[in-house]
This record gives sequence, structure tokens and C-alpha cells, in this order.
Amino acid sequence: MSLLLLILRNAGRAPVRGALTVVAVAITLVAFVLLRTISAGWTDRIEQTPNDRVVTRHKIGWASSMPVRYTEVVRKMPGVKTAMGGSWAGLKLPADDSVFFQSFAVDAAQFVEMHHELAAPPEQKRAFVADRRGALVSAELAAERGWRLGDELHFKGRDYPGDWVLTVSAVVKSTRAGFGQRAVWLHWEYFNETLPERDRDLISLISAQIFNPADGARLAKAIDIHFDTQAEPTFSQEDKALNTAIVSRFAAIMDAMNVVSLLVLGIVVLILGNTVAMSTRERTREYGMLRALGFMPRHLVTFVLGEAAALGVVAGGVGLALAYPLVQGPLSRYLEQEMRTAPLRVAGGDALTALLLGAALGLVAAAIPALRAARLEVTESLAHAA
Amino acid sequence: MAIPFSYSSRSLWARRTTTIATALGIALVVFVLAASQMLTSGMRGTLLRAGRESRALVMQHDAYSEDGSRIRQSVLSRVAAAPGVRKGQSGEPLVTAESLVQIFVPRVDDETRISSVQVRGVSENVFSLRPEARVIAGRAAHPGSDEAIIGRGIDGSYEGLSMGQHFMLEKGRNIQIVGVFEAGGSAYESEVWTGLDVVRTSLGWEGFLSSITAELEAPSAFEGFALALEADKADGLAVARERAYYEKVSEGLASSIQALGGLVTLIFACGAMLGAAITMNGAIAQRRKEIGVLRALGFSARQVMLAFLLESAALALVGALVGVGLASLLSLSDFSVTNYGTGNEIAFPFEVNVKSLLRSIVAGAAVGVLGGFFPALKAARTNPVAAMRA
Repeated sequence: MSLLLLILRNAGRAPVRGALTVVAVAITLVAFVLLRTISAGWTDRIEQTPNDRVVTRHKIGWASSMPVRYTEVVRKMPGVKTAMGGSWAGLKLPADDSVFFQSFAVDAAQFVEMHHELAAPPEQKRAFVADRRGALVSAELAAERGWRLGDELHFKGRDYPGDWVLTVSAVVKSTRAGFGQRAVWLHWEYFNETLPERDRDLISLISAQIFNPADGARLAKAIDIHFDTQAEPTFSQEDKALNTAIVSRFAAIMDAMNVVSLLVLGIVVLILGNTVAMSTRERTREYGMLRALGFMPRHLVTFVLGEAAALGVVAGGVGLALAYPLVQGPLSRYLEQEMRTAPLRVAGGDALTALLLGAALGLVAAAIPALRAARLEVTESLAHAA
Repeated sequence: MAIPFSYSSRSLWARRTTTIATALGIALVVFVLAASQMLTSGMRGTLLRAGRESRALVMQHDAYSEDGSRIRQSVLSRVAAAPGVRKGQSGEPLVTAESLVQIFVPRVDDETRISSVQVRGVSENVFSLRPEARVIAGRAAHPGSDEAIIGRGIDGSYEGLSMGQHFMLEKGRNIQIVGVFEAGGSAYESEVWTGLDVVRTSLGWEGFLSSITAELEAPSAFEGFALALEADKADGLAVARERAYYEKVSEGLASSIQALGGLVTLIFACGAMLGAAITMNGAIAQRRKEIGVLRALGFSARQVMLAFLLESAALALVGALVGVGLASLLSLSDFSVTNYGTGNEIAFPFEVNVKSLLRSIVAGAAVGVLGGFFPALKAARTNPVAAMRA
């Protein structure tokens, strides 16, 4: 108990240095929390993808399409609960073709049935299915453009020639990261009938809901084997695997962020180590005195390590207190603007890690000074000039 | 007379453990700053080198990128006849038609990573329009055959996409890779080039093109060229300087890397600045007597302050040089990431650029000077009599 008191008193002996150390380490830990939170955003996208879906597309690439009849074939395969076909509609606003949003033409009934991650009142969803010129729009996009239920929207085609008039039947809020935040969905039948002959009756994607999630990989393979004999072969994947692949396209950036996270830890060790080394150097005589009074080397080790850990824990706490408002506030807004990322949310685990890291790194940083203090000869240290 | 610099430098050496720890902290800041700048300039450089001031790109007016553009074949003769187009040796207009598609390919180093690689269907005259491209291994593809050449940036990175192997754009039709080309380190080196009609007949795009590239008589001929083609709204064409186009498609990823790198550097810099402040503060507390003597010898408060500022600047400079040195080592490694401006994966190097290295060094030194400012001020304000008695 009295050891602890001594440690805390010692930590407070150079208040300016102590405060500077705490703030420096705290700020650096904010960078750590920021980087962890950004990677977590990517991981969320994978984790929040439902595990009971299999996605089928053309084997060659997104630019190639499959005949619309493929959907029915997939739907009837054993193990498949339901399936929907769809195409990228490539819609744009006639007034301003630089406004970016995604647009999908889908089998309305099956789409609504499967995509429970799009939240809207059931009557709105029913209205969408019932109205062949209906549209589902993302809440974010609706808010930005000022669209409301029942509004009539005029679109033109970017990828295909044509005009489409849609009525907003439902405003949906996506509860899944990286899906449907800026999108418009319309009925595939209505989309298809307006297309030029050569582009008609084609789809670019089939999404199947399956009974048993464990069956996904096997079913994906079965679908591809089935269509392999056809003119348009397919490439199927579990939706989760597809999203993992999409995220992994940025793997190099994630790797870079992980390296930088390690550098953060390096900086923390350097700052803490420097402070501890300074303190022990100044107290060399004192350590000699303590040894002469009968304190053992292990006591000195406890003093030095304890003081570093105390600084680390306080810094970790301050870092956390700074990280929440900073990362979720201005830093998140800045990155949303610059990188079009989703808002950042600090995960409890990352916050706790930062706190523990503070303490752990304090111990690491203090290891060498502590050993040095323990090995001091009593007479030598008493003779040491401060 | 000013306090000699050797006073500052020797003082740093006398306390080398602390000096090294602080300098290393600053080195890490400078490393991250320099690395993110090298990454941005490598990425932008790779894309921008694909664009030349003297070339103009004709696309569908509302397409985001070349691969999403579709224009009629009949437009080609209009572009060839447009004002400002340069003529070749035999008097033919220097215009080339291309058709682009992106294909799914698994990476060799991680088969679960399905990437999109851009396949460019090129006309026979492609090498006269893009003189930076030349075959460096194997041979050029025979016109009219199902052959392709691959950019050296991605040769061997994806399954089926390397010299001697083949890929498909349509079931049952293998396209053989017969050569490797380089293109001055530009984004073309992350593409596969095959015949225009190989792409069009495989995908059922007969009668359409993705883009037309024209070599202009001079960069200043652009306005007249663009005006002539954009005047007829029925064709729905948009003309861009090729360089401006690549500027646009590199913007998203470049600004992301910059934003993230900048933010992290800023936070790190605050930490390192405080680290320098701790060190200098300690140095001054320890040398209080010495400072008193200096003042008693007649050095002014200003000179004492300058000496300590120099000391922290020197400390930071050493750190900055180490950081820049470490970052320069990165230029030995390559980076490969999907560009969200175009959707395909491109490979690019960390690019050492003297300007950004200098900027990083200056930033590192600034961290040291700012961190050392208040401690130095404290030193300057030391009362000589009180200090010598301590």
C-alpha cells in the first residue's frame, strides 16, 4: 500500500513533464483508435453481410449479362429458398448527371422478401411491390434530394438510352454497412420493357436466399456447374465471400494502416521511455539512499515500473476521453467528406485495447531503466552527481 | 558573439539516450508523412502518365470512366475529320478507337481475392498514338487474331494473365498472351491489350466503341477540336484532355490516401512535438547552472534562446533525415490497389519525389522547433544569479 503511494507521489514529482507525457501519449493513442476504427468499418461490412445468400454473376465480368431465365433455374434448385434477378439500371437525374447514386432494377417481390436489412414500414414495402412503377429509395439519398413518399421522379439512362418515371413507394434505411446507403431500386419488368431490343431480357446478378447457410459454398458450385454447359457461364460466391473479396481489393491500404498502428506503439514507447529514463537518471542518488536504508533491488524495479504503468494508464484514460469525441466527431466528418466513408463508431474493444496498451507499453518502456536502477552499486549511486 | 553551435550539438551528444529516443519519435512522424506522400505521388503519377496534354479523349458525355462509355462506330470518321487532329507520315489522321471491358481474375498470391483487370481492345495504329508503349518481351499480337499483350505492371499477378497463358472474354474462345509491354510506368502497364474486334465480337458490342483517342497538332488545338465534336448534341459526346481525364479518375483514391496520411501525421506530429518539449524541458532543468554561467559570461537572453532552439532543431533534423531515409527504402516495394475512379486494380510504386521529401524534412524540423520553443523561452528567462546558486 505504502509502495503504491510512493509510486504515485513519484509520478507527480515533475508535474510539467508528467503532464506533457500524458498528453503526448494520449494524443498518439487517438491515432491508434482512429486507425482501428477505420479498419473495423471495413470488417463490419463483411460481418453484417447475411450468411444465407449466394450471389451469381457472369463468369467474365460485370459488363457481361446472363439471360433472365437463369433466375428461375436457381430458384428451383434444391436448398434454395428464393432468388431474385437484377441489373444495374444506370439511372441519372436529367437535371444534373453528376449526382452520384446507385440504381438497381430488381424482381420486386423477392427483393423485398429477402432484404430485411432495408428497414421501412411494411405497408411501404407492400406498396413498392404492388406498383410496377414504384421505387424504393435510401433514406440518405431521399433526405439529400428532398424526395418524399408519393413523389414522382424522372430519370434518364446513363448506361442505356431511355426515360423512366418512378413513384417513391418506400424510403428505406439500411442497417448494413456498405449496402444501399445511396440507392434507388425499381421493378426490373418496367426497366426491361423500355430498353432497346439488344439489351432486353438480360440480368447482371442473381441473389439466392438459401435454407442452410452451411450449404452456401456447395450451392455456389452447383449453380456454376449447372450453367457451365450454357453459352453464358456463371461465377457464384457466397455473398459474404463476395464482400470479403471487395474489401480485400483495398487490402494494401489496410496493411499500410496496420503498419502505421504498430508505429503508433513505437512512438508511445519512445515517449514514455524517455520520460522514465530522465526520472531515473535524476534520482540515481535517491536510489542509492533507498538501497542504503534497506530497500531491495526489486523494490526499485517496482518503483520504476509502477510509475511508468501509472503514467501509461492515466495517458490511456485521457486518450480514450479524447478519442471518442474526436474520432466520432470532426475526424469522422472529415473522412466522410474526403473518402466517402460511413460515419466512424469507436468500438468498445478498441477503446479498452488503447487503455491496456497505455499500461503495457509503459511497462515495456520502463524495463531498461528499471533494470539499470536495480543493478546500481549503492556507493556509486550515492556519489552520482545529479 | 553568438553561442557556438558546437555547444548545442555536444549537449545533444552528452545525453544521447534521450536524444536518440526523441529523434526516433520524430523519425516515425516523418516516415509516415513521407510514405503517404510517396504513395499518393506514385498512384497519381502512374495514372497521370497515362494522360498526355497533346491527346484528347472522346467518350459518351455522361460516362464516369472509359469502361462505362458507349459510343457509335460512326463517330470515328467525324473525330478523324475534326479540326486540330494531327496527321501521320502518310497523311492519315492520328485517331484510334478502343473498346474496354473489365474481367474478373483471381490474384495469384490470394485466390479468394477476385480483382477486376482492364482489358483494352485496341486498333492496329495504337502504337503510333501511344508511342510510350512498346513490347519488351515476346511479340506484338497479330491483328485479327485472338492474341493479347500484357502490361508489365501486372504480368504474373493474376491467374491466366501472364506470358504464354490465356484468358477468356467469351465462353470457348481463348485469348493467348503473346507479349509483355511497358508504357513509361503509366496505368496502361496494369492493362491487357487485345484487338478491338476481339473485345467487340466476344461481348456482342459490334458497332460500338468505348472511346476514341486523338493526337492533336498542339495542346492549344484542344478547344477547337472539342467544340466541333460537342456541338452536335445528338451524338452525346464529351471531349476531355487525356491528362484531365486521368486527373479526374485518380482524384478519389489519391485524396483518400492523402486525407488519411495527413490526419495520422498530424496526430503523430502533436505527440512527437510534446516528446521534443519533454526532452528540451529536461535538458534545460538539468543545465540550469550552465545557463546561468552563459548569461553571466555576457550572452544575451536572445542568444541563449537561439542556442536551445538550434539544439531542438538539430535533434529534429537528425530524426527527420532518418525518417526520410527509411521512407526512401519503401521505393523498393510495389503497391497494388483498386482505383475507385475506374474500378480496376492498378499496380504502382512508392515514388520518391524530392519535393515531398524536402517537405517532410521541413515538417520534422518544424516539429522540433515548435516543441523546443517554450523550454527555450524558459531558458532565456533564467535569472543568472539564482541559476548559479542552485
